[in-house]
Amino acid sequence: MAHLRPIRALGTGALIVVAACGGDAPDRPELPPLAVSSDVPFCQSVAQAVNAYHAEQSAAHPRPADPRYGGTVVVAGGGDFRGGLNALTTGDQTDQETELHLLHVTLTRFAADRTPEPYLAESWTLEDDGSGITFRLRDDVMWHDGQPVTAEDVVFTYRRAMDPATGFLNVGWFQFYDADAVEALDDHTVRFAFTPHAEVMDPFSNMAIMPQHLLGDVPPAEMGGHPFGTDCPVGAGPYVFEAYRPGDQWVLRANPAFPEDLGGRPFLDRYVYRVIPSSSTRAGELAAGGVDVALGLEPVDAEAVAARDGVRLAAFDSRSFSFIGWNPRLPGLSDVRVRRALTMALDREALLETLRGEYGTRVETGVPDFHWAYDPDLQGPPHDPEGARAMLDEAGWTDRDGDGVRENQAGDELRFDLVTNSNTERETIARIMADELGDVGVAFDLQVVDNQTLGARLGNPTNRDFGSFILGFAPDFNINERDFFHSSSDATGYGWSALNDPELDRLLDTLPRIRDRDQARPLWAEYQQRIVELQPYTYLFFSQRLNGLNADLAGVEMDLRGELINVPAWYWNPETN
Amino acid sequence: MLSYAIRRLAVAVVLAFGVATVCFALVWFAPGDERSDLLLSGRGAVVDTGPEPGLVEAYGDWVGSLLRGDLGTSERSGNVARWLLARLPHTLALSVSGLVLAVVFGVGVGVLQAARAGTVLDRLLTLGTVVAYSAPAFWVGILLGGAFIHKPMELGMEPLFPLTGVAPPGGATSLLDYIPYLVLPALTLGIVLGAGIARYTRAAMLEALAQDYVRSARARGLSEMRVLFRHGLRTALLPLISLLGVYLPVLLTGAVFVETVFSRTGIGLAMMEAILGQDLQVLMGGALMFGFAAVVGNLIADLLYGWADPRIGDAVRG
Amino acid sequence: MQSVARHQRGGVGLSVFLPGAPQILAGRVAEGLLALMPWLSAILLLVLRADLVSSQLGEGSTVGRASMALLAAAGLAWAWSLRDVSTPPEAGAGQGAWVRIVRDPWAGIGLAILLFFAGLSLLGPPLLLPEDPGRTQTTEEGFLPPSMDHPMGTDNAKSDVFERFLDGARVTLGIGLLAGLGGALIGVTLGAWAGFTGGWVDRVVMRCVDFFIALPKLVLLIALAALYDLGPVTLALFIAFVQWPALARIVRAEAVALAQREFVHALRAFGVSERRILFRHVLPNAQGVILVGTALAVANALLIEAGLSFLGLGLDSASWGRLIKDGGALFPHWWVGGFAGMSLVLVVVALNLVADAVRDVFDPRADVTV
Repeated sequence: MAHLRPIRALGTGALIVVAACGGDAPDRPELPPLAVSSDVPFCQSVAQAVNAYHAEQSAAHPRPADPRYGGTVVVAGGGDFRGGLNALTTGDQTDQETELHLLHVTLTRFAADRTPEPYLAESWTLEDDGSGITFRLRDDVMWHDGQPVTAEDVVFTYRRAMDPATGFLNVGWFQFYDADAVEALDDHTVRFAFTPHAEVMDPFSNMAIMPQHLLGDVPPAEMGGHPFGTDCPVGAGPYVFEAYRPGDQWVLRANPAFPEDLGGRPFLDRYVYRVIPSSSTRAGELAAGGVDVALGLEPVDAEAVAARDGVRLAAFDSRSFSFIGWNPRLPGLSDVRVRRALTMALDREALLETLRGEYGTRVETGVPDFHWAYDPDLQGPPHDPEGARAMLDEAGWTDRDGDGVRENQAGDELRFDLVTNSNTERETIARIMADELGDVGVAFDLQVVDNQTLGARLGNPTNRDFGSFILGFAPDFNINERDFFHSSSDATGYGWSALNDPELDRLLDTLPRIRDRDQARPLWAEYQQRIVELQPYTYLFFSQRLNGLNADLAGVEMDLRGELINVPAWYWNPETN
Repeated sequence: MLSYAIRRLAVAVVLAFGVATVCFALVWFAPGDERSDLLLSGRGAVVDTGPEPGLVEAYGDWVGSLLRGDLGTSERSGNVARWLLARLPHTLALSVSGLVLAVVFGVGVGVLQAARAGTVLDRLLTLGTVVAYSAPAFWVGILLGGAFIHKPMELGMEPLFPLTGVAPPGGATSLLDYIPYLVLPALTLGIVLGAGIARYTRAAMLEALAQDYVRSARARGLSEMRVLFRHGLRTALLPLISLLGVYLPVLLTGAVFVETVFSRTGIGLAMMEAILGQDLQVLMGGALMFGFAAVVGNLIADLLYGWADPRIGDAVRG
Repeated sequence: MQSVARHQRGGVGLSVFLPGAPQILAGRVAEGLLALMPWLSAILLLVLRADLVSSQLGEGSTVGRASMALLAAAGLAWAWSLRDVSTPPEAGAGQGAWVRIVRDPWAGIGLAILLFFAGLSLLGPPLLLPEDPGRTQTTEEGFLPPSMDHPMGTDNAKSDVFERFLDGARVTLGIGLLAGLGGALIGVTLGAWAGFTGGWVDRVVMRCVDFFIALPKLVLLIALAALYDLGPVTLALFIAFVQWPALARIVRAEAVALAQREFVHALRAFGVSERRILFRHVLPNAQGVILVGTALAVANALLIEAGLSFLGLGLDSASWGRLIKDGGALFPHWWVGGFAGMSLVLVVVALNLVADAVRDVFDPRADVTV
C-alpha cells in the first residue's frame, strides 16, 4: 500500500550504516544447490526451471572473494504471508516489502531523498502536458527461471492490477488512468496514459512486476488462491524463492545473476523470514541469537533490546498509524455525535503514553505531522467523558434499563463487535477501550483474529458486518484517502468506514488533481478539519517502527521508505564475525 | 487373542466414527451461516447453485470425503490434509518423547517411593508429584522456559535451549538438529504426565509388595532389588499399559498447550492459528486428527495389554 | 494427633488472642487454620483500612456487608476456639469420617488453602481494592514490580495486577466450581442410575462413558469455544459436560457393587421403592467416592477454564488463565502471570490433597497406599 513523495526533510528516518571493513574471510560454507520443490502440478516445471537456471548462474557467477559475502540472515516478523509473494494479491506491509525489495523488481525505486531512481526502468520521459509517461526498460534483468523481463510483463502486471476482478487493493492508484492505459511500444519500452494528476510517479516504485509467461493464463479472479504465490513464486529480484513452511518460515536464496548495475549478487547467501507472532518472543529470540533481525517490537521489548549487548535497536519514523475504525452503516455509529462521543470518552493521550511511551505521536487524521499537507492548527476532540455522556444522551442513547449499557428508543443496546488482530498492543487497546467506553455506557464484544483475516474481513465489500475494529495502516507517501472515505468507496476494499458526505467527496475529488502544493495546502487543511468533524475513525497515534538488530549485521538501512529496502547490501561484519 | 484384537478394532472404528460425528455436529450446529457454508464449500458441495444440502446429505458428504482421506480445502491453507500432515511429525515427536519421558519419570519415581515408603524422601516426592500432577501443562512449560531460557537471558547468559520453533532457521541438516528444540517441550509433558504415573506406580507397587507371595519371596531371602523388580514392578506395570490409554487424551491436549507455549509448529499450534485465522477447515481437521490419534492410541494400549496379559484375552471387556 | 494441651491455661489464653493457634499446636491444623484465618484477616482489615470500615460498617454497601461478614466470621472463630479449648474431649470424638478428614494434616492444609482463596475472591474486591474500581492505565507506570501500593505489581497497560487477579479469581474459581459441581451432578446421576438399574441402560451409558473418556475432550472444547460465543453459564455447562464421564464410571462401579449387597435385597423385599433405595441407601454409601470425584472434577474444571483463557478462548473478562497468558515468558515481569499461575496450582493441589484424604478415609484399600 503505497505511493510516494518527499515528506519532510531527510533525517526523519534513522540511517544505520556500518562502514565496510576488511579482514580475514570468515568461514561461511557454500550452500547446497537450490532445490525448490512442490507437489503442485503448476509448480513442478517451474521449480525445475528455477533450479536449473540457478545452478547454471551459480556456476557462471561464483561467490566473490570479498569477505562480506556469504552467510544467512534470519528476520523475524509477526505475520505469515498467507497470500504468498504474489504482488497482485497482497496487502500486508512486510509481505509487500519482501516482494518489492527482495523477490521482485519495480520500474523505479525510491532514493534516500524519496525521489524515484532507475531500477527495472533505466530511464523515463514524462510528457509535458502530464498525460503520459514512457519507460525504457533494462534488457539484462532475468526472471529466476531464465526468461528475460520484457515490456509485456509490465503491461500484464498493470493491466491485471487495474482489473477489478483481480481484487488488487490499491486500485486507487489508477484512478486517473485511461481504460487501456498501458501499452508496450517495443520489447523494452512501455507507455502509460492518464489524465494529469498529482504525484504521478508513485505507483511505479510500489508495483512489483509479475511474470506474464507464468501467470498470463491465470484468470484474474483466480489470482488470489493461485499456488504461484506460495509454492513457486518466481521474481526477477536479487533474491530467489527457496522454500515456504506455512506458519513458520520463508527461505530465499541470493540471485547470482542479478545485474551488477543494480547491485549485483547480494552479500548474504540466504534470507530467512521467520513468523513469530509475539513481540516479546521476537525480542527474546534476537537476544538468544535465534534470529538476527526482530521487526516491529513493542516499546517494552525494544527497551530490553536497547539495553542488551550484542544487539541494537533501530528506531525510525514509519508511515503506520493505529486507529479505531467505526462502521457508519450501523444504526448507532451512523450518527456523527455517537462517533464523536466515543472518541471523547477515550483518553488518547494516556493511551499513547501507556502503549508507546516516547515511540509515537498523537494524530487527529491520517495526515502525519511530518507530511507537507499537515495542518498544525488542527484540534481534535478533547478527552471529555462528561461531554461524551451528554452527547450520547442528546443522540437518544440512554441507559433505559439500568444495566450500564445505553439503549435507543427501540431498546437496542449501544453495543458493537470489536475486531482486532492478535497482538499485545491491539489487545491492550481493546481492554482499555472496554473500560473507558464502558464508563460512558457503550459495550463491546471483542473478537481477536490474525492479520490476514482482519484484512480480509474488513476488505470484503459485500459483507461489512463488523461494528468497529482496531487497525494499523501505513498510507502511501502521497496521501489519498479517496478509497477510504469517499461515498463511492462504499463498495471497494478499503471503504470499511466510507462516509456519505458531499463536502468530503468534493475535497477528495479535487485534492488529487492539484499538482501545485501551495495551492493544495488550504484545501488539505479544510479536509483534515472535515475528517475531525466526521470522525470516521478515532485516530490514536503514529508509531515509530522499532526493530532489533544483531550488532554484527552491517550495511542495514531502515527508514520511512521501509525496513527491507536494502537487504541485498546487508552483510555480516567480517571483523567481528 | 485374535478375536480380542478384532473386537477391539471394531470398537476403535466405531469410536473413530463417533469422533467424526462429534466434529461434524460441532460445525453444523455452530451459530452463523458462514460456518455451515464453510463446511459445505470445503466439502466440495455446491452452495451457490441449487438448494442448500440438508443435514443428512451434508453428513454423508462429510463422512464420504473423510473416508477418502480428504479433509477439505480451505481458502487460507489450501488442502487441509496436506497442510496438517506436513506438521504432524512435530506433534508426533513431541507426544512420543513426552510419553517416553513420562513413563521413565513416573515409573522411576514411583518405584523409588515404594522402595523407600514412609521415609522423608517418600513424603517429599509425594508432595512433589501432587504439585506436578496439579499443574497445567502450559504453566509447567512457562516455568521451565523461565528457568532454562528467560532467567539465564535476564542474567545476561546464553539461554540453554532455543526459545521457539522446531528446527534451526533454514531447515535442519540432520535429525540431531531437532533435539534441542524438543527438550523442554517433551520435558513439560513428561513432568505433567509422569506425576500421575508415579502416583499410580507407587500405589500399585506397595499393593503388589504386600501380597503374600512377595512376603514369602522376601522370607526366602531374595534380594530387595529382585523382589522390587521381579515381583513388584511386574505386577504393577501391567495395568499401567491400559492406564496409558487413559492418559493419551491428556497427552494430546498437553501437546496443544506445549506447542503454544514453545511456538512449535505442530498440529496444536496450527489449530490455534486456524482459530485466529477463522480457518474452520484446519481447526476441525486438527480436532479430528487429535481425536483419531486418541482412538488409535487407545487401540494400541488395549492390544498391548491383551498381548502382555493373555488372561485378559477374551475374558474381560465384552 | 490428639490434643495433649487442650486444657492447659495457656491454651485458653492463647486462644483469646489467636483463636486456632492452640488447635494448630495440638496438631489439628485444619481446624486451627480455619479459625485463625478469618481472625487475622479481620484484624488486618481493622488495622489497614480502619477508615473504610468505620465509615461503611452498618451501611448496606458491598463494603459494609463484606466487612460485616468478615467480622462475624472472626467472632465465630474466636468463640469456637475458646469453647473448644475449654471443653473436655468427648469420648469417641475424632472417630467420625468427617472429623478424620478434617484432622488429616494434609487435608487440613488443603482446606485452609481453599478457604483462603474463597475468602479472598469473595471479600477481597470490596475490602482490599480502592472504592472506585480502578480502570486500566490509572497507575503511574507499567510493569512496576510488587510494592505496598500494588501488591502484585502492574502490567503493560498500567493496570493493577492484584485487581485483575481478584477479578480473575472470581471468574476462574466461580466457573471451576460451577462446572465441577455440574459435571459431578451429571456423572453421579447417570453413574448411579446405570449401575443400579443395570441392563441396557447400563450398557448405553457406559458405552457413552467409554467414548467420552477416549476423546481428547479439551481439544474438542477448544474447537467449541472457538466456534460458539460462550457466556459464563454456557462455558461452565460445556466444561461440566466433559467432566461427567469419569465420575459416572466410578459411581457406577460403586452402585453395581452396592446393588449386590444384601441390605439392598432386603429393602427390596420390604417393598421400598427403587428410587428410595438409590437415593437413601446406595448413594449415601458411595459418598466417599462421590466426594473424591467432585473435588477432582472441580480441580479439572478450574484447569480447563484457565487453559481456555490462556489460549484466548475463554470469556472476555479477567481470568487467571488470561493473566498467565499476558505474563508471557515469566521473565523479566514475573509478577504479571506468576501469582495467578502459582495460585492456580495451589488451589488444584489443595483440592487434590482433600480428595486424597477423603479417599484414605473412605477407601478401605487406602491403608495400603498411605
